[in-house]
Amino acid sequence: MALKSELLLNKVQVAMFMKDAVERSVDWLYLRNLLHRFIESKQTFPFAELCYLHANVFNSENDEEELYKLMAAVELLVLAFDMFDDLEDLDNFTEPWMDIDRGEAINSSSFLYTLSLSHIHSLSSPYRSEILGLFLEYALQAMKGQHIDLANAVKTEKECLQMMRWKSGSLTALAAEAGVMFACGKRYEEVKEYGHQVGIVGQIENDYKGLFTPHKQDRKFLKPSLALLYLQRKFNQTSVDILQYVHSGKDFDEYFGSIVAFKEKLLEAGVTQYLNVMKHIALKKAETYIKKLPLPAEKLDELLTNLIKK
Amino acid sequence: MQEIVNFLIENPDVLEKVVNGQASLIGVKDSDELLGIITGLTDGLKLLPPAGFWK
Repeated sequence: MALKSELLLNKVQVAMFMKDAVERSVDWLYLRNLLHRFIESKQTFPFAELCYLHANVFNSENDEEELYKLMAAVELLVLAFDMFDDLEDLDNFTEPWMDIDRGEAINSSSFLYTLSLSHIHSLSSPYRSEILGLFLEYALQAMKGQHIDLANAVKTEKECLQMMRWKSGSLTALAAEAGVMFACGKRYEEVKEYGHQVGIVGQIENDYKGLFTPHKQDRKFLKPSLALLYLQRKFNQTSVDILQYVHSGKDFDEYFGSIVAFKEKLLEAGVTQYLNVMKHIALKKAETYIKKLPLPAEKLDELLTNLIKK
Repeated sequence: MQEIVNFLIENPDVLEKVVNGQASLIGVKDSDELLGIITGLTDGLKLLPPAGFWK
């Protein structure tokens, strides 16, 4: 992920502003260093990119320092949610927060979550109350989606898409809407809608990659997802075979021989095609909403280039 | 959408007719869904390549 247009987000600056927020709130070196380590583990800042893109599309004369503070707050919130997600799912053991005492990890994520909100409060933007409102609205929505996921409450494609919209789409919609609010103090229904769709696209890709995570370390395949729901329809014998593998507790290479053989099975069952279709439907919906925005053609093109055509 | 995708995988001739505008699909709500189905079933299936913003 990288902005394709002439906009240039300084990723080092985003991390620096995140660390600065930590330093302003934590004078105890042990905790400060721990939180810095978590921030340093981040290689990409897609949510900051979304925020930056929208702030610049809706207003080309933003206060850059304030905007970086906002982006830092967005990324701190997402980092907190990523940590909560791993701690709740007990996966992603390579992440630094999974390598420390569980209590400390939970407290660190609570700290980063609250720090993100308090950082918004410290902005000098005239729209900081509205931005804080967006953070609270979407954080609650993301937590609702997360809980549905944790409770394995999804039974149908429609419910799964709703869960993904809340769990993942909320955070991308927040990043986009926060950028717009910062830039012009307005909300657009279109931004909210395509913001959610962009999140769904990301979640579908994550879920697909998740199919290839070593099975023994990760029980994700057993959780309701679009892929699992499709397999459970048992349209063909290959779907039945894959479902048997899912419940076998074995790794895919142990069960199917290799990753290539497993990918072939997913294709044979129709899972890959189904996920690809669902992804492209979300992309098309996002494109339609972008085109409805009351913006000049070159601004629309900027959004389409970065969000759809990349 | 599950039934539609499965049907089109099992009946590639129908997919071809849909792509060429010679057949329409019942149960598809709008052009976003139709275009998503066509693109999703005809573009880069083996790797499910990242698309859009996440590329």
